[in-house]
Parts: sequence; C-alpha cells; structure tokens
Amino acid sequence: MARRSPPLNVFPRECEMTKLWKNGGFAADVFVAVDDATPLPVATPVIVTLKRWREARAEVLALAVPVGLAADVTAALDPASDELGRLALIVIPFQKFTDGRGYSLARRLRDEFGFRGEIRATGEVLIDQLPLMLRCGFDSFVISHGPTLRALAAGQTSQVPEVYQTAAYGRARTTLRFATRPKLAAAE
Amino acid sequence: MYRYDEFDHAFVTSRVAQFRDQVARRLAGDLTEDQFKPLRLQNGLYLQLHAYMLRIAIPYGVLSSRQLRQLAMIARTWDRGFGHFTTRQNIQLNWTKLEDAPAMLAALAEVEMHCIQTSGNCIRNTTADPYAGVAPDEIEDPRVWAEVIRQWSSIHPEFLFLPRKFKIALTGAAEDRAAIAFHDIGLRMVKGRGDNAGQIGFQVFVGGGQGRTPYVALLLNDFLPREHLLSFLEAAMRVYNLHGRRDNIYKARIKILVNALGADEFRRQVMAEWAKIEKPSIDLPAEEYQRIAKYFAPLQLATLPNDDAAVAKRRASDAGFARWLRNNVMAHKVAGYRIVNISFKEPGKVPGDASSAQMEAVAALAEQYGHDEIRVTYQQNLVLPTVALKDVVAVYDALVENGLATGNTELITDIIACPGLDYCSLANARAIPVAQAIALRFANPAVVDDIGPLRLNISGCINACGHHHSGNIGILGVDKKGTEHYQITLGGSPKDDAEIGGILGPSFPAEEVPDAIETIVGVYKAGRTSASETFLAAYRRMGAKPFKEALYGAPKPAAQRIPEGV
Amino acid sequence: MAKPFSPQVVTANRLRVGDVVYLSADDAWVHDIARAIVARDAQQLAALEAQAERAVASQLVVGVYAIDVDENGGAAKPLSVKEHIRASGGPTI
Ligand code: HEM
Ligand code: SF4
Repeated sequence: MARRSPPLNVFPRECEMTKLWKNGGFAADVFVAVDDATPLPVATPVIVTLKRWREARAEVLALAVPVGLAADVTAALDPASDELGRLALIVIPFQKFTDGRGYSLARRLRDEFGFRGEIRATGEVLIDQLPLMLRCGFDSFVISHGPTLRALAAGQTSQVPEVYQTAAYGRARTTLRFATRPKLAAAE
Repeated sequence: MYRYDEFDHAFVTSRVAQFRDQVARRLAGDLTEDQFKPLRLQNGLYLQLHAYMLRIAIPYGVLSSRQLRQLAMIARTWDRGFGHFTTRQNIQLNWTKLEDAPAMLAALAEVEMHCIQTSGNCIRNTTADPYAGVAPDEIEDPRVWAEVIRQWSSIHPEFLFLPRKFKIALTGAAEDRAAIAFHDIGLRMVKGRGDNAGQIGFQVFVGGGQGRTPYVALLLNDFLPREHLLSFLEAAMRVYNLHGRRDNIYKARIKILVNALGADEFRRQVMAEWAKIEKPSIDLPAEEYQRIAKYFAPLQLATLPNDDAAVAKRRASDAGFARWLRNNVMAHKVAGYRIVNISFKEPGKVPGDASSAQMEAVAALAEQYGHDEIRVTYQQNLVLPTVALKDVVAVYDALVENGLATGNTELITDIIACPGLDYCSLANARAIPVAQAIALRFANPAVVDDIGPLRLNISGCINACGHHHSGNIGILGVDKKGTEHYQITLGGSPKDDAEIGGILGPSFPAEEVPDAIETIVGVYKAGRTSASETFLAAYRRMGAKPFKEALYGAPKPAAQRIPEGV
Repeated sequence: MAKPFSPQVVTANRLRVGDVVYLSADDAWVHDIARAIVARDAQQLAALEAQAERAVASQLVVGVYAIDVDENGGAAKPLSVKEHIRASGGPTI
C-alpha cells in the first residue's frame, strides 16, 4: 500500500510568519478578525463571520469602520439581502490550495455581483497559484508559506503572462503585467 | 490546421519557463511533493510504475508531419524510441526523467505542441471526431471550436483546481466518432430548427463518463447558439466547481453531481448562472472566431475521378490490399479522395504503441500523399484524412513496409487497451498481454472479416482508461486474491446508441480469456440472423442468456448452485 | 491475535530520474531488490521508514512505501504481481 510522505518543513522556523501582500508589495493589515463570541472592537476595521453579518448587521454597521466578511466557500451569498455593497472586504479561505472553489466565488463576486471592495485570499496561498487568484479578482493575500514569502520579497512570480481569457483578469492588471492577444485587449 | 501566432508561441514558451522554474524549486526543496504534484500533472508528468511518464496533448487529434517527426525525435532522444497513443488523443512516453522534462517541453513548443492540462483536476485535452473536416456526413468542422476551447481552457485561472478532471469532446458529424456520450461535456454541432432555423449550434450533453461509476451523458441544452459556447461552458464549469463533491475522490466527477441533482435541477442551476454572466466579456469576439476558422478552411482539392484502374487492378489481385481497402479506407467528402486509417493493431503488437521509425514513416506519407495532415483516433490509431484515391496503392505499400497495413479498423483485433499493470501504478492486472493473446487468437483475417464490426476494449482496472464499459465486448482486469483475473462485459457501445456493457459473470484467469472470447464470438456467429447482423445488434436481440450459458453452463436450480468464489 | 509480521523492504522512486529504487545498506538506494534491507519486525521497518523520510526531505527520493517480500531461498522477492513487475525494471511484454 502506498503511503504518502509527510509534509516537509522546508524553511526554518524563524521564517514562519504571516504577511499581507497587496498591490504588488507587503502591506500592514488594518483589519482585525473576530469570532462570534468576541465583542466587536471599537474604531478598528473588523472582519466578521457571515452569521454575525446576517444576524447583527445593524450592530456591526454602527461601528462606522470598514467592515470585512469572512466568507465560507460552501455558503451562497446573495448580493442584495447580504448587502455586499456595504462591505469593504470579503475574505475567502483556501483550506487547501487544491480546493478551487474560492476562484469561482471571487469571480461571482466581481463579475456577477459587481463587488468593488477588496477580496482577500487566506489559507494555503502559494506562489504558483497567486497569479491565478489575481486574475479571478483577488487583490490581497495572507501568506505564511516561507518560500512564497521569500519569492515575493525578491520580486519573483510564477506565472504565464499571456492569457487567453479576456474576462478573467480581476484587477490583476494593476499589480502584474498581463498581455492578451493585442486585438482582444483593444476590444475591451 | 491551426498555426500558432506570436501570442500562442509566447504563451507556450512562458509555460515552459514556468515549469522549468517549478522543477528547479522542487529539486531545491522549495516545493514539497504535495505542492509540486498538481503542477507537474498540469504539465502532463505522472509518476508511474517504473518511471515518470509524459503525456503530450494532441489537441483534438490533429498533427502535422513536422509535429509527428518531432514526437519521434523526442521519444528517441529522451525516452526509449516509442510512444503510446491513448484513447484521449494524447501520446504518452513511458520513460521520462523529471530533470529532462523542461527540455522535452521546449522541444514540443518548437513545433506548437505542449502537455498543458493533459492531467490534473482541470479541463483536459479536448477531443474531436478524427474525420473532422473531411467526413461526408459533417454539418460543420468541429476543429474550429475545439481550438477555441483549447485556447479558452488553457490556464483558465478559475478552473485549474476543479473537484476532478474534466473532459470535453466534440463532433460536427451525423455519426458520433468521438464518444461524446462518455465525456463530462459532449458537444454535437447541429442545425437549428424552429426559432433557430438557419443557425448552427451545439447540442450539449453533460455527465457522461466511464471509471468506476459509468454514465451515459444527459442532454443539458438542446440548442446552444455556437457563438455562446464559451459563456455557457463557463457557467456549467462554475456550477460544477462550486458544487461538485470534494470529500470523496470517487464521487467528484461532474457525472455524480448531475445525477445527484437530476438533469433538470442541474440545468436550472447552469441556466441561472449563465443568465448572470456577462456574455460578451467571455464569448469569443466574431473577428477572433474568423481568425481561427481561416486555418481550417477546406483544402483546395483538384477534383479527381472517383474510381481508379490501378486500385481496382490491385484489389482484384491482392487479397490483403482488398481487405485493407475495404476495412481501413473510408469515403471522403470530396470525390476522388479517401480517408485512410492506419492501424497500430497488428496482432501480437502492443495496441497503440508506435516506434519513432513508424512515426517518421507516417509523417513522410502524410507529406508525400496526405496534405501534411495526420489525425489520432480514440481507438489508438492514426488517420491520413485526405489521400487521393490514385495514391492509395503507394500508401498501402509503404504501410506494409512499416508493419502498419493491418486491415482491421473497427474489427475484433482493433482492440483498445490501456497500459495496465505493465506500466500503470493503479492497475489491478495487465491489459496488453491479454490484448495480444486475443489478437493472435483471431490472427486469421478471413475469420475477423466474417465476425464483422466488433469493438473489443480492455482496461487494467476500474478506472476504465481502456473504455471497457463501452466495448461491445469489454474486458476488465481485477485482482482476485492476488492473481490477475478478467471480468467480461457485453453490449457496450460508444456511438450514438451509447450504452454501458453488462457484466456477464465471474471473472476468468488470463489464460482462459481468449477461449472465453472465442466462445462468445461462437454464440454470436451461431445466433446471428444473417452475416450483416452485427455482434452488438445480435446481442441486443438475443440478450445475455445464451452467452452466459455457453460460458458458464446452464443455470442449475437454486438449491444446487455452488456458491460463487468466497 | 496480532498478525505475524511479514518481511518488508522499503521502496521509492528517485526524484530527479523517477527510476525505482530500494533502500539498501549505508543509506544507499539501489535498483536491485535483492540488495534491499529486509525489515523483519515493526521496529526495523519503522527505522527504515524514518531513514527513507530523511531521503525524501533531502529531495533524493519520492513516493516512499513498504512492500511485502518473500525470502524463501535467499534474496528478497516481491510478493505481489505488481511489485514483481515493478522490481523487474520494465513491462512484461
Ligand atoms: C498510465 C497512467 C494513467 C493513469 C494513472 C490514469 C488514471 C486514470 C484515472 C484515475 C481514471 C478515473 C478517473 C475517474 O473516474 O474519475 C482514468 C480514466 C480514464 N483515463 Fe486514464 N490513466 C492513465 C492512462 C490512460 C491512458 C493510457 C488512456 C488512454 C488509453 C487514458 C484515458 C482515460 C479515459 C478515457 C478514462 C475514462 C473516461 C473518464 O474519465 O470517465 N488514461 N484514468
Ligand atoms: S484503466 Fe487502470 S490500469 Fe488502465 S491505465 Fe487506467 S488507471 Fe491504469
């Protein structure tokens, strides 16, 4: 019977940190995520669960700070009843990098719901998938994978700059250089 | 055929550079195997029983002579001088080294080829009718749309980490030669009726597949205007990506979702998604369609007489040639031309295996007589789609020299076989030696001709890469207490009357399989109403009972029945 | 009652090349299964597997697992058809 090798610790412990990558560089994270049991902080941009957003929206909005939503890839969002337009940020988790639901969720938010705020990827965000996320509409990334942090710090990416899909850029063009077939780009 | 422009060249070149960097990071330890595996699979690189295996895409089965020569060169330089054509219009090299793979991909890129998405949980190589563009029964050439899908699906950022692999097949002809009913999405080009009269569109089928839970695809959309193909596919893919099961790899294919929801509910969800999609942002602009379609313009062929004295003379004097002509040479849409099937099924040989020398020989023939075009069929053979009738004798003689002139297209020795336990780490049993033994048992061409059309398919495990479910006779390798055994199914069909074969009874050890097949064929020959009643038609009429009785004896009364293998 | 321990060897593929190898003495990975170290109890197997994991961690091999072998008449031979074909270095055809 085949046994899989355990995951490796390929980078030294001191590298194991988490950083936010946004607009082509590392940035400070102004948001604080709270679970449903924690009282809402005052005067700090806050990330709440979908449950809290649905059940205590008035209370959250009364804070008068930017609000983020911790989305769940299994729960359907409704742009109207969930008042997505009032959110500054939607956080989409990648529990495993091989779970691709987050890509579709982001495209729905951008292309179908017209969401203009920040879409943030958390979880297993790796250098080889980051350009795909950008193209689907993500614009910030919580990264804790050492080699990915090192590569980004060194200005490296892993991507094929030429893309065939005209729609699926997200706002990637502001942070990475993408090319399409010249005629198609002009048609936009 | 399609030719890369600068953009396509830049795309594959960037992809090679990306993979080279990924391999370097893997070797340096920056990527674990768990992180690297999906990346290498999306570049066609598997780790198999003996070594790495490279699966090279032959998009919708179309090759030029130059490309086939390059495949021969790559196989010779970095592998062992042969390749295996697969049921998915790919070719596999069995002895690849990881450290060589980037150079091999670069050599492919030189001739406008790649391995992108030939594996992994993404949209795979799109397959199509091997007679596309030349078949007399064609409504429209599906290669244009297959190329459109190839481009659209290549590194589509949303659909690289689907619940499971995704296979699309197309046909533009009346007869289905692409097994569209056994694909995640099957597309058939049709003429619109009623409101859609005068238009050409797609009939869209969804949720077909083989593997451990075989399904024949269900109708998703009866008429999709062709210009909306991409937005519609995007909607269907998005529904699948969000809702396909991810908790169990065996239940992750779209067929499971479609059959769990029912076709109506699945259709409702896709239509709802499609309604929300801004179609012009996704559908192909008309001028881009025109640009691609130009490459598939019909060849300008001088009209030639539809009979040829030299061919007739040879047919009268050479039984081998006559047989090959009858079985392997098909009508072309232009009079005076023929479609020539090249069999890689000489009895005793490995089905679908081609040596570099054979690839070069076919490349030369295509150049000299075949307008530089070669096709790959899902039956693991090659096709010269356009040969002038007057050149058919010369083509035959060259094929004979290279062991490629077996006249057995769609006959019992034209066996589809997966690599099985000789190469595949998932296998339960070997497939190739069983195929060889059966083909040798039926080595007499007169016997084979008398049996008539019969699709015999063999898989080495339930994943069904050898299409055993859709074989008129299907053979499945199973592991019975550590020994290789083979279960036989009858009545499958990959065509318009698509059906999944039914299991006949307990499995046989390898050495008994040829006898069993001979017995089955004997029942058919004794029971057929006339020589023109095919095996499948006879089986459908007669039912499984006479075949079961011949193989296992008449059923005993229940009380006396000996319990089946404990 | 615990099942009696069946003798096993540890196998993998070399990462760079992909060829089939078996863990042998002195941390060496060899093609010939007859030269593999045979674990005769769970403890020995665990030690071999730990050694193999170090080879995985240093990017030497990939896909480590243990297989049952038969030692009747000296050198270890794989028990299953699959491992027999794999150890033989190529297809049977
Ligand atoms: C040797 C390495 C191969 C491996 C590891 C492999 C793996 C698999 C697996 C796991 C499945 C089942 C997928 C599912 O049901 O979800 C499958 C299906 C399939 N494979 Fe392969 N395969 C291999 C070679 C081939 C070859 C050589 C062919 C063509 C001759 C092929 C064509 C197919 C086809 C047509 C199916 C069934 C159709 C379907 O997806 O439902 N594969 N393969
Ligand atoms: S059917 Fe099974 S044995 Fe054959 S290639 Fe597919 S996975 Fe391997």
